[in-house]
Amino acid sequence: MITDTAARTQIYGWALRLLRNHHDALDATQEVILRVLRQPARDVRNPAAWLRRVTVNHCLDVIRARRPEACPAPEPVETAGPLQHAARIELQAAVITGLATLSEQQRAVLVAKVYDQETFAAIADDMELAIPTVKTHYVRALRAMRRSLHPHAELDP
Amino acid sequence: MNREEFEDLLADYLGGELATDDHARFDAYLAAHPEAQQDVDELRATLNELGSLQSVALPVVLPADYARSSGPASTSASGRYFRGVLKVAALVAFGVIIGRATAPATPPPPVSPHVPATVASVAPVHPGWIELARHLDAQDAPLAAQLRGLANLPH
Repeated sequence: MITDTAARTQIYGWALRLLRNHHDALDATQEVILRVLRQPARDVRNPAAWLRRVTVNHCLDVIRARRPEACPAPEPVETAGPLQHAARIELQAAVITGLATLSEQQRAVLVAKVYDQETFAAIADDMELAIPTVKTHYVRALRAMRRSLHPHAELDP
Repeated sequence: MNREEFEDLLADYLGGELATDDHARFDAYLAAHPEAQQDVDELRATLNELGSLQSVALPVVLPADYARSSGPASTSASGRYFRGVLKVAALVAFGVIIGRATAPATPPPPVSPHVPATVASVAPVHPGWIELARHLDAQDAPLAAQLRGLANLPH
């Protein structure tokens, strides 16, 4: 049930990872819940996976709509030094930017595999795709993320 | 193993789903093909970088105020309307309390000897409050009770 605390916490967790701001994450959670209540999906085999996909897509829309100067200060709690902290924040921002450049299917497969540790078979079932297609999306998404995170890597010696 | 088979098994290898038999063949292919090994190393590094998002600190549970405000009741238009009304009522009551607290001290008006003090000191209640509370009784009884307490309405 979308209104369960567990479901809301799950949505909020995803939103916080992507938006990196408590208030934005709360807003996004509210938006996702309202969207799902207004337009409930039919015949969804895996509601959790579907909900994650809706949340990720919504958060990426929010990120795209943000003005660059309005990007909020990140909130993760780090125990390392300030330089490591800054590098981690920069990497997180690059990952989010990279995710936004993927196709929706690539992103859904990558998120399900990397962050939710789902099997290729389960992802294929959720997305109603063939398993080889899911694997192709996964590798292509990884290569695209590699290019996005290290745009000059091929020029390196 | 040829390049085509390597590509076929690459997802399983990176995703931790490669069968034991295939694992040995895959490792042997990597050992013989440095460019394939480099490809795998880079994709593994990318996977590690993707894991950076996992380090964002998440609260164990949502804040209590949020948990209340995002329940199903808050999504109905009437629920939002009456909660808005209650907020306005709370602001008005707060303003009255502050106004009384900060008003210059003046002697209380003489109480008519014909009116009991407990009745004379109670301000008249606007009928709109009572009407609103009655309406809320049918919609949201706890909210109506809060409003009655806030505005000193009879129960």
